Amino acid sequence: MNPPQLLRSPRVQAATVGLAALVLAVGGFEAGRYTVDAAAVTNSMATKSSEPASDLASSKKTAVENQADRIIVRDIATVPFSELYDVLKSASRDQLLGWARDLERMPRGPRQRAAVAAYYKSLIQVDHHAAIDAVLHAENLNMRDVAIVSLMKAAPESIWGDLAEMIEQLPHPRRLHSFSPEDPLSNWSRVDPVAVSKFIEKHPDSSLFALLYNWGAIDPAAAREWLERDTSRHTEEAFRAFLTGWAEIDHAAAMEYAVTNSARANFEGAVNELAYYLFRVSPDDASRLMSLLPSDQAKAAMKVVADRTTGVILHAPEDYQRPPDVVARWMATQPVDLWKEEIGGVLWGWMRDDADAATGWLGQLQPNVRDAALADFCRRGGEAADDPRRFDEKAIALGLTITDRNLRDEALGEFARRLGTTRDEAIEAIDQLRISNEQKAYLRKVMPEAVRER
Amino acid sequence: MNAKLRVVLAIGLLVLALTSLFIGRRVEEGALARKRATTDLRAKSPAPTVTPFEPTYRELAVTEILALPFAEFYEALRSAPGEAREKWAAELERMPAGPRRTAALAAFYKLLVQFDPIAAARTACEIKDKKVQELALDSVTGAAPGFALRDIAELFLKLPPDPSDYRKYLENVVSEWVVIDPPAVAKFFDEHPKTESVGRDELIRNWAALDPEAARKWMDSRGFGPGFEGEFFDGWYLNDRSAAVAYALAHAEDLKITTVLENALSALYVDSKEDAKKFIEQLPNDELRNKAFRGLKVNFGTAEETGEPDLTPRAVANWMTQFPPAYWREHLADVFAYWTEESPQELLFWIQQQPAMIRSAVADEYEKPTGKDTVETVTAVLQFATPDLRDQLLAAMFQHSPGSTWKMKEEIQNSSLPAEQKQHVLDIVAKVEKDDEAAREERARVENDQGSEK
Repeated sequence: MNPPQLLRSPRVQAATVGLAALVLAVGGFEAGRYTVDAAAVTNSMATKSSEPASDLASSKKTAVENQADRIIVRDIATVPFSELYDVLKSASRDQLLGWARDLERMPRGPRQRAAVAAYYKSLIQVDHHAAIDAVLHAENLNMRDVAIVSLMKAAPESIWGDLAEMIEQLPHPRRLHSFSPEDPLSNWSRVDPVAVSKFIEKHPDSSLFALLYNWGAIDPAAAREWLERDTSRHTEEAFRAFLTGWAEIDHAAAMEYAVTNSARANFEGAVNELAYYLFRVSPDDASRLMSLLPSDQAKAAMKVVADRTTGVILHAPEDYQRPPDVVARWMATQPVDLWKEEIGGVLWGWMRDDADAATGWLGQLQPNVRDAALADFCRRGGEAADDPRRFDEKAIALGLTITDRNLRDEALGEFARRLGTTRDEAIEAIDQLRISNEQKAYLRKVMPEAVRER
Repeated sequence: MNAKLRVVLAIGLLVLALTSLFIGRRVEEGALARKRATTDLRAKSPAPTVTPFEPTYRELAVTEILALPFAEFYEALRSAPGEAREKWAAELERMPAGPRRTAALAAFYKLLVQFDPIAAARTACEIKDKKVQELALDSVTGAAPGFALRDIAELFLKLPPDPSDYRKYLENVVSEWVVIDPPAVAKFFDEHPKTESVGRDELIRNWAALDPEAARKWMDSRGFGPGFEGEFFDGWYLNDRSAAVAYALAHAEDLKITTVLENALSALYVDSKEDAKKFIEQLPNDELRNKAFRGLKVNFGTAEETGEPDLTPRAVANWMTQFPPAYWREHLADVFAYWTEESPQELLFWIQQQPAMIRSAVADEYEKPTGKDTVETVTAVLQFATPDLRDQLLAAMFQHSPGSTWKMKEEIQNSSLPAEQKQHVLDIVAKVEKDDEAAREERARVENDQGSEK
């Protein structure tokens, strides 16, 4: 029988063959998928996964390779996380701990530090239980320190609680010089202060500072309720942390709490800290706080402002210390009694920075304010005795302009006496000053010993 | 279509069908294997870090990041295109302040920096809100992978001119980078000389540990003086301990203006007290031995705290005092300074127990614990049965507090000590002051004589 006329056409024949090819290709593919025995694949995978994880990893051509049963992890410092992730994710717990031990046994030095840091930074993200386990069982304590610091840097936010528990279990926790045991609590309380409060209830020796500072800035009412609930928490550190945290979000409420509680035990540090914080970020609010505080406490707060300005504070944030001219100008807006014994050091600082500006500013003050400022400036002269840029002659010249005679004698007498550790030394120092003989005689006369002898 | 062509076509279609079948099987096996691997890992790991469901970036809102198990978040972020990541970063910045934003932001940047470090660092640098930027930059620098440190350091150079931030973040990056690739860090410093101070010491130490010759060459090319020899020695010691120590001994006289002798003794003490003893004995004279003891650096702590019994102040003091007093005179005080802060009574008891021949030299090193009450310390010393030792300890205590003798005197005068004891102590203070003055005069006389000789 001859084929139908239509099939004789070459175009139709080609189309028919093409269609048949497509049907066979799709049908074959689906049939192939269908014929796979799922159980067999499962078994084969089970066999594979019971092999060392490195065998799985090796096919990924990562830098972490199994060579003669010994994992080379020492070069992982520059391996991208995406590669490490796949390897670490596939590894068994034993293998992960084994790598950690292997790293501990590397020759000490930068390579070891780099490898340990990279390993723990990755592991904490992939399997934090394994990372914590490895740290808790570390034998090389120096490398354990490096590992912990790395964990703290790279830990996901959800595992701070586990890290805090780890620190509690850690043998010899105080050997960590580059790490504070408070670090996990500090990070954790930024994201979940309530959980941290429960942790601290379970571990009452923990520091309260980080929790109350962060909680005070997140939910002051809850933080306050928790703080007030237990008197053992009413420490100087706890009040200070809570109040400064609260002040970050609500100056007025923090000030009100400070003033209401200012007479409480262990509260003075908190008030002082608040005053300094407000002075830095909002001098007007700081002035308001000063006006609301009892005089003694306002004076103590003023002393803190002056001391922080003149002190050497290591690792302080850039704007933590305000320039002496700013501080002096603000102090002078407060009642004289609050600052008359504190402003001297600040003025010396300003004098060192810009003597002309400081002198000019002093010159335009009201006489009583100027007298008080200059008197303390002179009294504090001795504190700058080691400063090569002393302004002794300038201080004397300024001191001599104090209008209140008694105050002038007392301030310059104190200044003169502080020029030496003994009276004789001070007199010797006066003789060497470039001032008139009358002024030298005057200074000798007003020194405290000379006054007592009269 | 002729018969031959039909046969060829039939064979072709058969091959096609078989190939499709084979491909279908492979695809299905692969899919099953992936599914199985994921399920296995979930079963093996106590941490629910991996789930079979991995959402793509399209299914995620940024606020959901916190709620995601790490693996899901990781896969989503890894698969997201650059625009999606940038969109998330912008959304995060706009979230209301609070724990949720803190957690999400930290998690986002800690992970993003793993597979797109440049984008992470750049985006963090561009954040306007200072607090948000700090958190992002902390997360980026903390978790930054080793291979990207150079690029991140370059980006940080463009941070706004806030010296503390610029320094802090660059310093963090350099301290991670320097253990991985010191020559690259050196090149970076050469290209950006103003940044050098953020990690020059660390660079020299780590480079010398890996390649002392190259480190030395770089130091010479930069004209680094004796102030950097100590850092170089520390690194070299890790690289080749015997060569470094032999060099220190051979050039001890030349190195006395550096910290090399001190660093060598410190490192040897921690590694082997026997070798440290040999080192001291091999130094050519007592002056150099005393110099080596001057900077014995030990991270003190109790054995319980540090896990290292040789690091207790008692262990260090015992080791030092096996040598003649000329070796450690004036430097045992540094050990006492730590010891007396931690357990003042234990120190006093230890001094009392020293053999008579060195007890006096040991007592000369005693000083008052910082911040401890003078009267309390004096009372503790007065408990000693031996009058000579008592007086010597008190004299040493006043001698080591030159700046505050007057204050201590005042405290004693105002104390409730019996009048006789009070007078006795004040007499000792007076004698110390007199001796001190005589010593100062003697020094001045010698200086004058030397001046006139010149």
